[in-house]
Amino acid sequence: MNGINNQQEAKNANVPVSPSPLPDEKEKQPAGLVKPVLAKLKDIWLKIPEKLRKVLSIVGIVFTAILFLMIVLSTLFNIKKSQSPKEKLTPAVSYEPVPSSDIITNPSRYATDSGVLTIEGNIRKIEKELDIMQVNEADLLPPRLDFDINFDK
Amino acid sequence: MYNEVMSGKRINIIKSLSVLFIAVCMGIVFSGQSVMAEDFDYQQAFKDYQYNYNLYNKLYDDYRLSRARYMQYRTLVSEEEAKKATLAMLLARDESMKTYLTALRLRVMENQGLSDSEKESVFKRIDPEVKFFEEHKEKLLSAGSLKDFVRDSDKAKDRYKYFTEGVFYSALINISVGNTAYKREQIEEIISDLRSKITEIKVAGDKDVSVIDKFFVEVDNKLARSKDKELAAIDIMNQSEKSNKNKANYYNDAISSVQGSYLYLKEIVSYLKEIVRMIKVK
Repeated sequence: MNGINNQQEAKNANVPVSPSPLPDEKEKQPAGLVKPVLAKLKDIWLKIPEKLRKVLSIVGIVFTAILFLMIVLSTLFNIKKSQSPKEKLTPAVSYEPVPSSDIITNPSRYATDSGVLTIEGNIRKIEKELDIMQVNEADLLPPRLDFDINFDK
Repeated sequence: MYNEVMSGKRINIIKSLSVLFIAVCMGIVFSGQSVMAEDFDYQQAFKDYQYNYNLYNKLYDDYRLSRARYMQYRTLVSEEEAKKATLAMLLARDESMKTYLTALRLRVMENQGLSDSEKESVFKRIDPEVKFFEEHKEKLLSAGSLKDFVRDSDKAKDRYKYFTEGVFYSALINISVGNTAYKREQIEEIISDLRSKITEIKVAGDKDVSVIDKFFVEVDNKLARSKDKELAAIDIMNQSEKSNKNKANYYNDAISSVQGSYLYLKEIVSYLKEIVRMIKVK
């Protein structure tokens, strides 16, 4: 209506005015790929009988609600899992990591030599003994005894 | 006549049986004592010491309480109570020191790193201290007044300050040095085995082990340093004997030196591990 009024005003004032597009032409104007798809879907939706549309709407709402609920629950579960103490997370298989220096990738013929292995075993044994050794005999440190006995003050 | 002879024989039999019975009894008693003496090891001595020390702590609290009452009221009753509590505490103090020294003695005895002569020199110093506190206990029983208890306690105080303290700190250092020396001996045996193996490899000529010789130079250096640290610890304790300064400070310096020896031993072990690894690798 504005366009028509403008044209009439322009005609009256003899001022050239750019022609305004017709309402049908406006709808037909391409607005990317989304709009036609949505329009098609709308057409399809309107073609479906009203009763079926209602049923489909309810099913859709319920499905969306369940999906939302599942997302919320899984998020909460993950948070709880990350907060729970580490002791509860017991690995299925426990193993002692072997230090990288102990792994021999290119063994010599002495790698399996019984004499070498015996020496290696003795070294490991003494290493363990040294680890638990108490240099200062902490249990036998002298007792604290009071030798200042008096009845003066 | 016959009856007299028979009765005389019976008496002889009874006499010999009673002598035999007494001998068997004595045998059982003495064998039992020897078994008990054999069973008395460091663990048992340490338990004895712990028991007596705990008892002392309890009786010391009682003494403090009785003393406070006596100092406040100065009555005959409170004095009697103070005397009883002081006697009990002093007896427990002597027993604690005695059992502590005994535990130390057994620890030294069971130490595998000390030679017999080294052990003997420690025993020679511990035994008179044990004897002193044993006799001191007996003297306490004859004390009649609180002044007597104070005088007797001061005697123990002087003994502790001028003799006992130095003796037990020295024993403790000897035990620690003995422990590290024993470990070093074991390590030296391993080094000897390792050297033999390397000589064997050199003869076989199928592996270059020339680099390992450099490692052994380091190992030997560290062994020497470990020994030096132990000797330094003993030297510090010898110095403390001649000084009237705080014995605990000397002990702390000496134990730091033993700690240094221990750290050298740990380094040696890591070197030995590396040598073995080099042998096992192509």
